[in-house]
Amino acid sequence: MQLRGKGTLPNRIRPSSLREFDPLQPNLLLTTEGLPQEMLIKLSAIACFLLGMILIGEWSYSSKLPKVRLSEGKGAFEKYCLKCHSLEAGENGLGPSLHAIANVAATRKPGLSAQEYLWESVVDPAAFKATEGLMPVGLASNIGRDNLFQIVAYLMSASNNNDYAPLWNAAKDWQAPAKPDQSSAKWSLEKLNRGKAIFQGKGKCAECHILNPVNAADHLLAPNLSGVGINDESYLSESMKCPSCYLSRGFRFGKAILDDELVSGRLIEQEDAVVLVNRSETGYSITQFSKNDGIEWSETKTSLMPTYSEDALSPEETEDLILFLKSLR
Amino acid sequence: MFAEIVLFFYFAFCLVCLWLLDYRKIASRWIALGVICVGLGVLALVAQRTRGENLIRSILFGWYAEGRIGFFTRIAALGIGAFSATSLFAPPPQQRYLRLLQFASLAISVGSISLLLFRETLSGLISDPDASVTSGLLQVSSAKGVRVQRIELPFHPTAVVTGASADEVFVAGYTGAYLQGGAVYRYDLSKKDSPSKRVAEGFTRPHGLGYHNGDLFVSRAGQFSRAEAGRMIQERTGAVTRIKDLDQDGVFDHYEDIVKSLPGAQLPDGLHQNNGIEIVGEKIYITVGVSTDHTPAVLDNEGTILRCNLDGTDLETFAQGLRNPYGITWGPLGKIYVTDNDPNFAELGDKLCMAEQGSNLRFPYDSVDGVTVEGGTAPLKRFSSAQGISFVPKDEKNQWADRILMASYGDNALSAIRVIQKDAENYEVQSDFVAKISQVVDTHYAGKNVAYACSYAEKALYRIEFDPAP
Repeated sequence: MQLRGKGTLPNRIRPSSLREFDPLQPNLLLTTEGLPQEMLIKLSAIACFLLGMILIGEWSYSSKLPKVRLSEGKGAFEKYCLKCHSLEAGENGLGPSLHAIANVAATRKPGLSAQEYLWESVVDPAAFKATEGLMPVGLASNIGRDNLFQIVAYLMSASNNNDYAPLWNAAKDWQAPAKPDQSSAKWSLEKLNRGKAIFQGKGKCAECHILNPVNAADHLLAPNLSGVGINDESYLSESMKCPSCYLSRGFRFGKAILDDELVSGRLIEQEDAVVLVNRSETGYSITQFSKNDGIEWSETKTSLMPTYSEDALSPEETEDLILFLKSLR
Repeated sequence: MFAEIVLFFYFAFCLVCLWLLDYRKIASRWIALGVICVGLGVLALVAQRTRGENLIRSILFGWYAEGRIGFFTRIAALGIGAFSATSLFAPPPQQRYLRLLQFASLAISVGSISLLLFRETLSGLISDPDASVTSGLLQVSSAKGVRVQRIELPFHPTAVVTGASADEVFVAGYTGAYLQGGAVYRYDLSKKDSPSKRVAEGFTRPHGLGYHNGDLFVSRAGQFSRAEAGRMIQERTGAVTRIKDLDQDGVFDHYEDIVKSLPGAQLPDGLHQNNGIEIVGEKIYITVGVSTDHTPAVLDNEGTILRCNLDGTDLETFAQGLRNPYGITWGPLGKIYVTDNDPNFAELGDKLCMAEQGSNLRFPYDSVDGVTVEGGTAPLKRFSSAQGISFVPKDEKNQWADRILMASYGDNALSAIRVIQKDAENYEVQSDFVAKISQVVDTHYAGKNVAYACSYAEKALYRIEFDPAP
């Protein structure tokens, strides 16, 4: 028996019977011919290192903070933000364009990183108003922390900024506040069903609006209302009373005079042409003409959506309809 | 990615250093300790900056075990680590306590690894046979008194029902790729090595089966759209087809839609459609899904349970307010029960609902966070996963009598659900583990202590026999 390294040589390394086995016998573990002491120490050192890596990896993975998933962020942005905000430069809707927002946001408020500013601008829109807008109060509660996290990460990534550490700092201690309009809210199924009936019937909302996230061409005249319930009731109510005051992003309206006849509808402006879309008995009426044709046309800023006054819907009916709209997430 | 590559090489450098050091010198051991501390410190700093990213998995391991396997893995790693750490400085023999620690850590490591390696064998010995799959100490194959036989299928099954006897089994499913080739196979399990027989075909997406007096009823749906007046129109392709074997050769010859123009599998959520069916007396109950994830039903018959005669006449809405109901059965207390998949956006858990004539089961309004819905019928219970269901009648002589067998696709388990009425409006629901079946999608109790279940992923039919109750 050869022993390398330091330690005392035992008289017998391998016990001949269990009775003779002494677990505290010195160097029993560390001195065998096949596995010399130095090799054991090397293996031990490496094992220690790997163990530490495992534990730290576990710690980093088991963190309760959300993981960055840009595809989810894109989906959440399209669902919650795109109706008002665009990522295209200069394309403003109800809210300002968020093109390269990371660069702008970093300079908005001293002491706040871009990520922290974006986070704050959603959870507390009143803290800093870049433009006069209609950022819904309580939006963050409806979106939820994880969705908000993914949205801000997506916005940062869209601005070629992939530093998410400040975002985790902003997100880690944030708790969605109680939803004053919902936490104690009790939705009556009866009222919801009445609201849905008004949406599909008397209110004629379903003639232009759809409720599904995807329905090819069904959103040509009016935006689909999937997710509209994240807005507060006052926004929904006001936009019914004055549709032209709250035009959704991407929806412009115009008119033109063709052959002495007034044509109006949703305005889609191409590089060299103008398209006016309106509803017809068979589906859509589409009027298209070249900008070089000398046809008189203009943008009207007037929505095709009718105004819902008390003559159109009673206060109770309006209330039921708004409750139904609130349920659309 | 660049940071990961740098880290990878840094860690490789650390490991090489640890290997090359001459540990006969005490100074080298201190160097090794320093390398370990600095390496792990760097890792901790990086991990701090990338919290939420599975850094180590992406760099080194490529796998991650959670649950009990993960727990024992960590215990094993801890044991090995403690053993290794105490061995690092080779304590002199008089330090008996360190030697003791070495042995204790070694024993823990060996024990944990043994549990991992032999968990299938050990689980049968140490698990509570009555525990559900989520609460057992370790996973078990089946509960006590339950015997499971596996039969290979040549296709992905979606629904199962028995015919005239408990040994005559009909299984519907996809025989082609990408949900194509809907067909029904018949198995006669009274004979050993009885070959399977393709008895009906030509369906798209058959998701529900019923049997009555030699006839089969198939709930099926397709996807078809056309452009009309500037928009895409989704056709209503859902139907329930009654098929008859006129010449008694075992293959069905005559196909007739008793119910048609159901919404079918419409976009945007084209996986929803009419699914499970249940025949109770001379009536057939049909589950119909909505075409979206969580918006209200706007099409006729969306999100409902329909009821009609076996020839399709007297079609009526039995209950509404469902999302994508899959399983349906007549069950305890003489009621109709239905499972309903939960919205993807909320992930609240699949519902098990009790339905009565005129019930509104609250979808989608009950999936909005922080809102209490007044009116309608609340689910009996939510489960992490609930698909096909089938009732074991009260007069059956086995331990699962008067319970609903429930296929839990996501939990890979067949469960037994007991519904206890507490008072006029409240019910208690108890769930017990019956058998472990991977991606089980449907189940059917055939009588005589025999049930069947089918596994979508494994392409397998399971015959489950229950020991008779004393």
